[in-house]
Amino acid sequence: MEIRVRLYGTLGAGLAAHDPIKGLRLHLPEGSDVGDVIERLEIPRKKVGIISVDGSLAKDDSPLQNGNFVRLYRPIFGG
Amino acid sequence: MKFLKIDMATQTITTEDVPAEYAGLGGRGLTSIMINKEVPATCNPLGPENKLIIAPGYLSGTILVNSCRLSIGAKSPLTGGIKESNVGGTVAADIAHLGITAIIVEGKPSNSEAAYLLKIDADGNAALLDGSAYKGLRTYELVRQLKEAYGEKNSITCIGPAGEFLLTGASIQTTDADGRPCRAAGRGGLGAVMGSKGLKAVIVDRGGKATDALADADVFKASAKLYAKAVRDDDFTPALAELGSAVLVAPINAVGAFPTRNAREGQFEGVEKITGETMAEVIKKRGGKNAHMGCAQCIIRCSNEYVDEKGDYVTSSLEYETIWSMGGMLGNDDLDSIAKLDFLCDDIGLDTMGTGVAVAVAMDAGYKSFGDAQAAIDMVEEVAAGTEMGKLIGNGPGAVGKHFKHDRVPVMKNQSMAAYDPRAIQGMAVTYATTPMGGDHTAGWVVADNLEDFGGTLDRFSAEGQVENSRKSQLHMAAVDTVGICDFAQSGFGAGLDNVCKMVAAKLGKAFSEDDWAALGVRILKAEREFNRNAGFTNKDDRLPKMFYEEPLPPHNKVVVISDEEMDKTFDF
Ligand code: SF4
Repeated sequence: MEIRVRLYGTLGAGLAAHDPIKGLRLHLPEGSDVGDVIERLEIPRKKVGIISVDGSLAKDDSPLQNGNFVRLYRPIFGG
Repeated sequence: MKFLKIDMATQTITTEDVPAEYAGLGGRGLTSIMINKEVPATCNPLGPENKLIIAPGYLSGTILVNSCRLSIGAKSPLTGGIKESNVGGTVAADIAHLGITAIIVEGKPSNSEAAYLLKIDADGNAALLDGSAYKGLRTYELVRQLKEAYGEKNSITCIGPAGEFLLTGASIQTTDADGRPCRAAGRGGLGAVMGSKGLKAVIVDRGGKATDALADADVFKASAKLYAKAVRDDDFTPALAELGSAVLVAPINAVGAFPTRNAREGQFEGVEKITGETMAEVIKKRGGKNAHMGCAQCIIRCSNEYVDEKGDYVTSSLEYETIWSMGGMLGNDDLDSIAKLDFLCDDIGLDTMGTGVAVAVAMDAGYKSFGDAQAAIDMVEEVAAGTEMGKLIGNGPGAVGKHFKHDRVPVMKNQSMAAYDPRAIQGMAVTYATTPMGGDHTAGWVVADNLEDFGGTLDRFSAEGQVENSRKSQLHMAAVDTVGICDFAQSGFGAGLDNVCKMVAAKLGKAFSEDDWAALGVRILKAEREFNRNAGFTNKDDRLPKMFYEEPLPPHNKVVVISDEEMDKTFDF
């Protein structure tokens, strides 16, 4: 399956394939979940805060389907 | 360690040593405790009895990074209660470098048309000068002319037309590291208090060499170093440099807590066009500046310079709260117009948050349509033109709601909420309702504590633990605002609260423990709440508007669930 991923904050820094606005596309085996995306992109897990799939909040074990749009946000701080 | 007292009635200036009761205080601790003691709580905020107190943080002017916050306090004409609004830029360090602990502006000139400039030179000598030639000027032009007349090497803190018109949404603007009047003590209408005193601008020389001596400079230096390292090492610091506080737009929208169209929804469908990521790209492409240093001694650089398609300066710094108030809150996804509105507010001397929400309420009442950016720009321009509509907008959302007989007005103590909807983050309901400041996110920012994905442990839709957590945060922030550390540099507390206490002790010359830090927070909140009670506030004022209890907020369709009894437990002292 093919999904779209977008990384927010500084998560995409250093990832050449990631366009800051459009994100990137990933091919994954059927049955993959959000955790697999994070692993594949080699992002340290503690750097990921909120996750959404097609606009709804999701978790590491949320299953994925062809065409999903996964967004990963970094933790926040401040005011 | 001296107070500079400016009596506007007689135009006399006196200097006095800081009395013992105010020892160890700066910033908000000093302004709030002094206002509670010296300003009659029932006075007219725009009358002679009110005092405008301008105080650098206790650690401002030292070598500590990100310690350049200036607190400005008075009785607020917007809320009718006590107010402290703090601002960055360079002026806090400059005042501290002159050995001045606070500038206290009292009284009122008998001639209500008078305008003065307060000029303080490199030796700390202060004079009131005739400022009538500068009356009516917007802040950018004012600063240009003042620099021409008095030299580049000054920090300028001033009001625009909104402050002169005594509008309760008026800000006090101060110059940033590049000398632009783009940093605002925006909240509470303090610009109107300054205007009522006939004070157009305070000009402070940047070359002072009389900083208060430290009792133990070596200990201070070691702790300041640890603090800076913790800021540098924090994960969030590079994100703030790259995207500024606008880094928050996307995630807060993702969790459905981004108040949209006067808080009718918690997500904005146009958000992608106004995220921090989009903003940073636009700025980069057009040749503006990200990672811009807005304040003295800043090692985070959350500021930016937004430019237009030709690469010409539009505004600095476009921040999360303004992107919300002039963007999502208005259903406006046009970043260029948001930047223009940010500039207009700075130039006219208006709080971007209260002003955006005032426009949102007008749109919600049917005066104009959501998404009409030009209508928003026109409304803000009307403030400077002094029209009836302009007066309403300049007096904030409460005034607009009253005029249109519209009750969807998201204010607390008549000050607008901030960019976190309390229905989607219940902890913010407690902070908004109970802080003596009125709707204010910085008084107790409990957003991350409410979001599991950000390491929070509280259920954001439940009341459980919210009161205790907000109380803890509010007490801590009162102390942070006293030492004058920038909100975004709180990562430095990663080196330990005791490390910060050591710096306070090293300046004070006597022990200052973590217990003293906690006690300081309590002392400040007690003073602020006492002032508000004396001004006529009761527990009924520690509530949110009806809309937050009755209208479920999409997409999670929740309302505020904190009961009145729980709200009243927030400050059970
Ligand atoms: S982080 Fe931003 S607000 Fe804080 S001191 Fe730096 S430029 Fe100023």
